[in-house]
Amino acid sequence: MPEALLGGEAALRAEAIAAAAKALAASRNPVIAGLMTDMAGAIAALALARATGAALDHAYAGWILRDLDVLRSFGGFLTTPLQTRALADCVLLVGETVPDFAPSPPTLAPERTRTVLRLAGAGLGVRLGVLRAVLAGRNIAADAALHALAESLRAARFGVAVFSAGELDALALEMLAGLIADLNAKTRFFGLPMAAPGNAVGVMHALAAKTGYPVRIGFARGEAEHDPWRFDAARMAESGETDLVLWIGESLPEWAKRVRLIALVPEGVTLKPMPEVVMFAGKPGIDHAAVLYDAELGTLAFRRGAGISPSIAEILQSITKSVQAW
Amino acid sequence: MVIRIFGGRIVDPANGRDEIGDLWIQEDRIIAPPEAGKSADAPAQEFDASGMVVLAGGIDIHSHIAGTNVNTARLLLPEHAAGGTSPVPVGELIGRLYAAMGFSLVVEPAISPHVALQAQCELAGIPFIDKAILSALGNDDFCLRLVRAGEETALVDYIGRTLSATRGLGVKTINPGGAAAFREHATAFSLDDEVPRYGVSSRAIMKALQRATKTLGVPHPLHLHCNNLGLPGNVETALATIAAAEGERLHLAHLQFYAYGKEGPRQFSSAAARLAEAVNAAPNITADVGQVMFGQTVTISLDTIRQFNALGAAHPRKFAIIEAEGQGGGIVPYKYRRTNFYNVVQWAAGLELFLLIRDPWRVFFTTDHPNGAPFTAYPDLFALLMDRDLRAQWIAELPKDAMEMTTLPAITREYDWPEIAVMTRAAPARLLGLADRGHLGPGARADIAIYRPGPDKAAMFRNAALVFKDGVLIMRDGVPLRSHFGKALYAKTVFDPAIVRRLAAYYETSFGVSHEAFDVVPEALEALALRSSPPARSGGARETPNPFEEVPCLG
Repeated sequence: MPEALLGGEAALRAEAIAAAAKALAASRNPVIAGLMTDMAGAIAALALARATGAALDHAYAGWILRDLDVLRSFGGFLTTPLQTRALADCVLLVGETVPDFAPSPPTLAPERTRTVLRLAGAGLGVRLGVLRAVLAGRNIAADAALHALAESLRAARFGVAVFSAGELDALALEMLAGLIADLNAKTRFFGLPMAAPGNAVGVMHALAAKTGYPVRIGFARGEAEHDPWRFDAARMAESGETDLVLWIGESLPEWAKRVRLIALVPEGVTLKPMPEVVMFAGKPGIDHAAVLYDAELGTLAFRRGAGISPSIAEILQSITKSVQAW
Repeated sequence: MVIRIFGGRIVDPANGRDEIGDLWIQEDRIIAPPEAGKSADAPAQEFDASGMVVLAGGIDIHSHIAGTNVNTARLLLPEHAAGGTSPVPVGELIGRLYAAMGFSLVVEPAISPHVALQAQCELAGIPFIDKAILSALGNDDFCLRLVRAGEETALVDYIGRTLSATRGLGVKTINPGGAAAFREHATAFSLDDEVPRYGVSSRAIMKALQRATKTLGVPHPLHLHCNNLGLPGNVETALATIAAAEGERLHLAHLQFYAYGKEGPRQFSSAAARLAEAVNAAPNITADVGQVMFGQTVTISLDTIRQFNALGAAHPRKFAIIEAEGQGGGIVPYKYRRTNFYNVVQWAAGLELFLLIRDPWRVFFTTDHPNGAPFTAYPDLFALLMDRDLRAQWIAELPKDAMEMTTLPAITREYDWPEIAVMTRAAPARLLGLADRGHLGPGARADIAIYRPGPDKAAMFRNAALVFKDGVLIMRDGVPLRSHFGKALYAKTVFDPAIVRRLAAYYETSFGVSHEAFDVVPEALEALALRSSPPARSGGARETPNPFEEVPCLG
C-alpha cells in the first residue's frame, strides 16, 4: 500500500507533501475543501489556509449554513438527542430523511407517554407555515391532518421537532423555527437538527473558536472573511476562480474534474479523476485518536483509535511547514 | 536562568510588602534574593522597573471564555466577528488581550459536564494564560434525585467524580433548579420555589451543594448564580441567599445583577448600598461584581428561565435557547446604552458594590464577561475605581433621573494599588486555593505584571509594560514576544468509586450511553495538537506537555 501517489504513481509521503506544498505556494487562489476531518484536522487546515491565503469549505457546508442562517437571522430553541430521549413526550419528525423514533415513554419522565408524529411530503415549507398559522389561531384553510397535528403539538409538555437541513429548504427551516418559538409561549418545544456528516458540526465549532466564523472562510485578504457564496468551493471550481483545490474527504465531488486537484484521503480509496497529488491518512477516531462531534451524544467526544496511521492534521501541519519554507 | 527585576514598586499584599525593591526569578518561580557576594547567582537578565508598579499576575474568577455556549454566541453574531471588536473574541485574542492587561489566569465559570470536552479543547487553544472551568450542577436529574433523597454522601462522591471527569476547579450552580423548572414550563423561580416533579426547593439544592463542596474539600466554595437575576426588587433574593448561607462559605457570582430595588418612578432602583452592607456583615460571603459597561455585548447564561424572559430585549433580535440534559443555556445579544435609565442604574449599582464592600479580599473584579460587558472594558473599569474625578465626569454625562436612584455620586472612595492587588491577585488565589499564585513571595509561580503609571489609567491597564508568565517575558507594552501556553487547573478530588457503578447504570437506563462518554481525558487534548509542535527531547520522542495542573483539595 503506497503512502501517497504522484501523478497516479506510488510515492513517498514526504515527496507528496513537498509537491502539495509547492503547488499550494504557487497557487493564486487555493481552496481547502471537503474538510471531512476531526477537530485537529480542521485546526491544521485553518493554519494552512492562513499560510496560503486559501479559502476553507466543507462538503456539507450547505447543510450547516442552512441551519445556521435561521439561527443567526432569527434564533432558535434547540435541544439534544439525549434530552429528547429522556424527556420528550411529543416528537415531531419533519421530512422523509429523519429516522423513526421509538414511542417508548421518556426515560426521565416514565409516567408520561410519548407521541411520535411525522410531517412530510411535498411543499413542506408551506405546510409548516399553514401549521404555524393554525397554531397561532389564524383563520386559514387547513386540512384536518394539520388541525390534528396542531392539537398534538399544543398538548405536548416537552416537545421536540427533529429535522434535517440536509433535506429541508430555507423556508421550511425558518417556518419550523418560528413555529417552535410560538409554541414556547405556552409549552416547551425545541428543535433537534440532524447533524451533517463528515464531522461538519465539529469542524464548524473548531473554526468558530478560532475565527468567529463557521465554514466558508477565506484568507485571500490576510484576515479571516466569511462569505457563504464567495467561498463556496463548487462555485469557485465551476467558475475557474480557483486554480487549485486540496480535497480532504473520501470520494471526490462531481466538480473535481474541472480543477487542479490534491487529495488527502483514507488509505484504499480509489479516486476518479486521479488528482495530481494523493496523500493517504488514517480515518479519525478509527486509525488514530481524534476528537469528533458525536451525533448520538450531541457533543464532542474523544475516540481513541488504533494509533496506526498518520492523521490528516499531521499531514496538513507538514504541508504548512513546507509552504512556509518556500 | 536567573532574572532580576529592579527598581519597581513591589505591591504584594499577601506578603505584606509594598516597597521599592527587587524581584528575583529562577525558571518559573520567584526566588528569595541571593545573599550578597554570591557571584554564581548573578542574574542572566535584568529589567529596570523604575517608576513602575510590580504585581503578581491577575486572576479573573468569572469570565465566559469557552464552551459550546460561547462558541454559539460567536456563530450567532458573525457581523461582530470582523475587526477584533467582538464581544466574544476568538481564543487567540482572549489570551493575548488578557495577558496584555497582566492577567495570568481566567476561570470559565459555567460548563455543564456533558460539554466539558469542548470547553477544555477551546481553553487549550487559548495562549499565554492559565485557565480553569467550574462544573455546573444543580439542574441535572441525577443531582436533583440525590438532593430529593437526602443522599448527601452520594452527592459528595458525584461532585468528586464530576470534577475529576471534567477537570473542573470548582462547583457552580446556576439558579439551582431553575432550568429544571423551565423544562416544566416555569418562567419564574425563586429561592423557596420547588422544582416541579422533584419537590425540592432551590434553597435545598443550594444548601446541599454548598455542604457537599465543603465536605469534598474543594478549595473554592460553591459558586452560586442566584435566582431572579436582573429583576426589579431582587435584592431581597440576594439578601435571603446570604442569610441562607448560615455562616458557611459561599461565593455569589455577578452580584450587581441582584442589586436592584423597586423604588422610584420606574420601580427600578439600585439597592447596592443595602446589599453591600449585608456582604460587609457576612464574612463567609465573597462576591464578584459583574459590572455593566456601555456598548454592544451578548449575554451567555445557563439560566434558561432568565434568558427566555430576556428574549424581548434582544439586540440584535436573535437568540439561542438550548435545552440540554444537565443544563443547556441561553444566548441573547444585548446593548447597554448610556441613555437607558435601567442600564445606567445597573452601571452605578456595580460601582457602588465595588466601592461600598469594604474588604477587598471578598469582592472580585468581573464584568461577568460578556454579560455585563466584554472583558476588554476592564481598563476603563479599573480607572473608574481608582479615580473619583473620572467617575464624576462619567456621572455628569449620564441621565440624572437614573443617578438619583443610586448612591454613587456621593461615594468618594478610590481604590489604591494594594487594594487592586488584593482584589485581582491575592484574594482570588486564596479563594481558588492556589498557594503559588496571586503573590510575589519566594516559591510563587513567576506570573508578574508590571504597569507604567500615567495620567491615563485605562491605557496603563490595557497594556502592561512587561508581563511574565511562568518566568518567561511574554509581552512588552501589549506586544507578544513569544508563544506560550499555560495550564488548565483542576481540583484533585478523592471520592468513593461506588458512585461510578451507580452512574454507569443510571446513564445506561436514562440515556443509553456510557457515563464515561463525556469525560475529558488528556489524550483528547493531545489529539487536538492545538499547540505548536513541542520541542523534541534529547531522545527524539515528541512529548506533549501535560495541559493540566492539579490543585489539591483540603484535607
